Amino acid sequence: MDALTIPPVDLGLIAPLLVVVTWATGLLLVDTFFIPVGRKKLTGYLAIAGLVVAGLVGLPLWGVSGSTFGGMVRLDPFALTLTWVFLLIGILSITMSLDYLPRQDIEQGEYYPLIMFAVSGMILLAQGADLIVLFLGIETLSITLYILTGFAYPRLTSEEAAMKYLVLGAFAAGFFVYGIALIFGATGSTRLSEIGAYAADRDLGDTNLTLLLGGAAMVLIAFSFKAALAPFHMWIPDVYQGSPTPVAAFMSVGTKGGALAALVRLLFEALPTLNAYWLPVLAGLTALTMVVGNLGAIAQMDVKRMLAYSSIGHAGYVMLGVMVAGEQRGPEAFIFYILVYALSNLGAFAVLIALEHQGEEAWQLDDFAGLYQRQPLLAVAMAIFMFSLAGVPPTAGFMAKFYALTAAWEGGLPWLALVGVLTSAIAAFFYLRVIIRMFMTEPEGEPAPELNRGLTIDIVVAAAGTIIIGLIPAPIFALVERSAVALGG
Amino acid sequence: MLYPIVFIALVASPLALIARLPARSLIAWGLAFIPLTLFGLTLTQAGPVLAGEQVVEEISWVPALGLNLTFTLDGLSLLFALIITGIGTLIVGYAGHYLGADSGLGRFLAYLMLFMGAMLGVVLAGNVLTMFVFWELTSVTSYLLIGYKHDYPDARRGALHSLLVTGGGGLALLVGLLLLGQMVGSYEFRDILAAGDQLRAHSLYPAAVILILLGCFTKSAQIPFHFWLPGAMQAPTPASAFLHSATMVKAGVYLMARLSPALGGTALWDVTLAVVGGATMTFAAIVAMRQFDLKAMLAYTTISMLGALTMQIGLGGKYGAEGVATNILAHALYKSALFMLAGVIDHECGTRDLRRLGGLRRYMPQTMVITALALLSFGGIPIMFGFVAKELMLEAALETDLGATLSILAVAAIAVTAIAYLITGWRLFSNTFLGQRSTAAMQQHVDDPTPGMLIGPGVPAILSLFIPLVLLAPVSTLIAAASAAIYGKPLEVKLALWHGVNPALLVSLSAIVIGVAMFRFAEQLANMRGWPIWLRGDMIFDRLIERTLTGATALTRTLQEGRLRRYILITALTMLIFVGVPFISFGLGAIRFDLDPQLQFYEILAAALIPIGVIATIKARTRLGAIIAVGVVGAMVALLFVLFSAPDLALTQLLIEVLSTVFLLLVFSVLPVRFESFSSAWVRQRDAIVAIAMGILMGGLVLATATNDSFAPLAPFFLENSLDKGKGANVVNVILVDFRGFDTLGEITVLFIALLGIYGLLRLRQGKDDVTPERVPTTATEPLSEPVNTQR
Amino acid sequence: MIILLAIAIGSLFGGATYLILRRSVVKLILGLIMLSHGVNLLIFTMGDGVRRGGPPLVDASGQPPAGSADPLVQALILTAIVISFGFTAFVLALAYRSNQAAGSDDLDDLSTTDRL
Repeated sequence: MDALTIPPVDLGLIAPLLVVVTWATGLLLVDTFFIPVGRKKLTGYLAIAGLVVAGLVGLPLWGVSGSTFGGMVRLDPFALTLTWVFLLIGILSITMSLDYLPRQDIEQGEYYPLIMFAVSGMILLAQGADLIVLFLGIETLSITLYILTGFAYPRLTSEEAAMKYLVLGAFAAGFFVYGIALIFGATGSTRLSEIGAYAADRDLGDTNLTLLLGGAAMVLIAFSFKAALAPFHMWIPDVYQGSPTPVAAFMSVGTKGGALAALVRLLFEALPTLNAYWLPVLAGLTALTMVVGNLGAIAQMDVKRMLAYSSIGHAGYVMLGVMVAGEQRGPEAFIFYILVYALSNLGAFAVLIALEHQGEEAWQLDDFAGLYQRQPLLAVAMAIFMFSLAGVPPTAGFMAKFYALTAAWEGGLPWLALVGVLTSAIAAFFYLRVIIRMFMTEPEGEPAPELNRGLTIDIVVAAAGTIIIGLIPAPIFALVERSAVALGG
Repeated sequence: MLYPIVFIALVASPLALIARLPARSLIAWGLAFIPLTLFGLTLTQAGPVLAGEQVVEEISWVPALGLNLTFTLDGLSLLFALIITGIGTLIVGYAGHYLGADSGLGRFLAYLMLFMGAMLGVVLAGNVLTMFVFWELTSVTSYLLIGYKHDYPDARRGALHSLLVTGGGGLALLVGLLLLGQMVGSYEFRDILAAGDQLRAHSLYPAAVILILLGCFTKSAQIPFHFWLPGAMQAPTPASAFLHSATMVKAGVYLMARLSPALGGTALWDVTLAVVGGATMTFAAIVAMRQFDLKAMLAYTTISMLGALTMQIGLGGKYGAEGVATNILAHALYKSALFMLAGVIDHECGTRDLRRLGGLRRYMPQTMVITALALLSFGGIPIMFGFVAKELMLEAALETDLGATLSILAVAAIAVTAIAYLITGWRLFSNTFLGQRSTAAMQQHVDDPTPGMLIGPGVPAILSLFIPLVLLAPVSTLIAAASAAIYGKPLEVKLALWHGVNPALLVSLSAIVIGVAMFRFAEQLANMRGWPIWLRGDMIFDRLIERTLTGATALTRTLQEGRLRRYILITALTMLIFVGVPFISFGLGAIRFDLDPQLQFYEILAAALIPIGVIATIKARTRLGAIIAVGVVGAMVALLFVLFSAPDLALTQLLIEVLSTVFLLLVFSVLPVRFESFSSAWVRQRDAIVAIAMGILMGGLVLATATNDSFAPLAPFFLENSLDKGKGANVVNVILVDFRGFDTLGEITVLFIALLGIYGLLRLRQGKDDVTPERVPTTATEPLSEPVNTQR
Repeated sequence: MIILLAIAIGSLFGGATYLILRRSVVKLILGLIMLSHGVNLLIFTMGDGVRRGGPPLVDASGQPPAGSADPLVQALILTAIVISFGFTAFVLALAYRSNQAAGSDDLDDLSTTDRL
């Protein structure tokens, strides 16, 4: 018998992912055996440390491009930059949970490792170069989120949210697998590059290509569901409202980032030659998403729901970059938008948390009345986030929207860019409504509870990031430019 | 030096917050040094500009997006910058008196400074996108200033209208500017201005013009977007004087003037501007004549003058350019003075309603003199600056290239407007200062205000007289530089009071004669019925907002009705369409019904039991029956695995099946016993149709795919290399742990997380067993967690 | 024989869709289970065709039996089965919990949504 040859596996390429997963697993054990009930914050700190370490481990990988596990996992600057963004999202979400959980009386040690697992799922989505890996990434992310959504047991809305999310998610996941199977059946491979090579050799009339299209349609639907593209967006408002607020915050940026990162690879590695088929469909979905999300938001009097609808609308703007990811501008706009949206939206959710009293929701517009007089700094921070989400200069949100719209315009979708502009006009209305309430009405409720440290850090980091990136975006632009070059090459 | 000019105002704005301290009027005059400094700084740059050059400064901000921070100072920018900083100085000082009793003064002045910086940014920006950023900032600050007295619903409404109209127009403008940039390949003003011929010939030219004009018309309150400006009068008077008369509303005019060398010269541009501007000018002048509120009166005359400026840009030519520049300056001077005076009267008398004022000549003589000066200029009476400006406007109308009809119409419109201005001015003056004092309506002590408060209106009012008398030469140089930028070519400008007897003078004089003759009918005119102040755009706009909101609500309510199965239904239907359409159009041909000769009886039996089991599950009357039926289905799936050479799968499947059934029984035993059909027959039929369609589609796809052999299968690779490379005879196992080990790792992780979740769900029970299985919200004040049964 | 599998898969998907659209939480779960059966069977039909040739086991010389089934597909299904099992178990736990919180097995009772 020959000597056992171990297939070449370069663990270095998945170092951040490995760190997150092993750290989370270890943390789970540490939490169970060493951290007493009531001091679970320690687990949170350790989780943050783990995410930071993962980010540092990624540093030497900058500029590295390569695949491992037989081409199933890919590392390139695109994936690495997104990994850092995802780690940042994880860190901010954990920070804002530190005080939220005990206040809501739902603190459990496994919460923090679960967030880490979710982050690992997102990283996997950014690195996956094989449909099965993408499926695993989506499942890791989703199952974690199902659990986290229902974390506020026994609050009924939380369980309801988990149930809705789970059933719809399972339905979508079922079709995702079906889609993979069809693609596999049509092309004989689940590797993105091989699917692409197969499709490139065929005429568009080939019946096998039709099967590939059918499978691709199902996979796209599953991604659309995760990224909340209309008409697969309906779970979003109900689920966000029911989830613990930090989880909703995490979800709003996490699922979008993860799912769409994978979609970029799928569209441009596996299906670029089928562009003529999916582009109109996705463009239609994107337009619908921007309209439905923003129209839904203007009707809301509940700020948490408003943010949920706005997150649907923003999914549309992110899609602008995704759809033209074949051009240089596309992936750049995508990464930049995700980063900016993460900062602004997590910040806005953190303000929501800051306003929640013990177990009590304070999400109505009226709860924001006169916030400027009660807590000026909080109000100013919220105003920054609202302006950024609305895309008002000089915040980062303006840059991001401008970037995405330019990318779509130059990528050959000017009409979609126009829809984007018009819907942003609608969007400005409801973001400004919050600002009006905060600055221009008299306070109605009692003063908000004192800000605690975790939330303060969160809000300050998010607000500072939003403003700084808005004023001096050049360094971040340079970063995303170099990340996107790698995708094209 | 241009950067500091813009940024000092922006950065210094928080400094103004100190004005919340006592001694506010003093602090305000101290703060007025900031705009004064800026005024001085601007003047230091004026030398080369007046000599016909441009000052350009550039920092690359976001080169990737073509966003450069370019600042340019030419004649037009200089004119505007001097107006903004000069009047800004007076306004800041004046506001200290006007809002001296208000602790919000600091906030107000901070907004004002912020606005000033933004407005300077608009007029100094050398890049259209930079300009746009500042443009939107002016809208936002204007909104903050209008809504300053936020306790009043009218103030909030006015603020919202102004923001929505100018903000919406701003978006149109953005698209227009982007089009412009695409056509030229650069977002720099200088490149755009150099590419006039290319632009006018471009197929996108009309679209770009319409979008840009939408932005400018909304900002500069042209018909039919004029309604927001009277609503904006809810702002404290200093803000009205500054933003809504002297500066911000002229941003639209500024941009049109700036772009006219590149975009003008076509019928689309010239005629649109001339007609819309002329209509706005005349209409607003007539409406102004009929107002009773001082500020409303001034607001409509402002709209009218904005229309006049727009019209002159459209009329074009040398005189058009000169007229625009001169009128901008003249109007800024007298109108800011008048607004501040209206504020003085309001401040002293407690009202600005013409019907309740009167007889103030004895109590407020200084105020009266200053008002008279400003009004004379407003009315275009000779030797005032307003007269010089009006003569140029008439010249522009007489000399226009747009044809005789438009020329005559324009002259007539100007004449009518001039008459209306005179009557308006007379009504303002006579109702305020002449006649009897209405003691009942006014405050007890009515007096001239402190001299400090009269500096603000006094300086521009006196300048309106001094410029034509003493300062005509230097002002001519400034106007020459500004009109050169509008005209696109250098111009010789010599402003003069006396041009000799010419048609313009005759029209002007006859208008004055007719106007003065009509003074005694002024009040009848104002009160006349049947002259509706029509075009109530604000009402229409309110209704539009309301409609949009109801529409959005209805749409959302329909889509988002809260029930899971509705969401699933929509998802399933979309899926059917997305997958079904390509399949039906292209894939049907791939289906082959090869009858397999080896087909065995037991295979048919196993496969046939699956649909039977499915139907049995659906039809089951008891829960146990349903579980058994599902178990049969699972077992048959396992059997199929066995029959078709997959023993590993069959084993796993059976094991899992047993476990699942046990779990099912466990969990279902604690659920309510009932197992009936909740849904109506109609709903069930609808769902059945969707389900059958789904089944057929999926089955069809299987038929089409499984017969596919267009690629080299991977199986031989694994079969051949299993023992060799993976050291295992069971190829499936080798693949799992070796070739695709990463999958398995991930699979384990997923399973592990699921278990974690289950553990979490079940363990939580220990601490919280006291929860009654009812719908009890966690807190009493939590209306949202109460479920709504939307069943109808 | 593929026609047999096609009918089986079609009926599984159809039945699953119908059950998932029901209001009863029990039926919904049964539907999800059925969906996973359908998906597994579907993957089975992909790849190198369904064979009766024999399981993918190689003999000592590393040679597979003639016409043996596609091992890759089987490996994928194993992954799918395991994941869907974890999934089912979690759904059951959640259903149990949400039933406790809501006091009802009617999914229409879980309809917190916009209040407009």
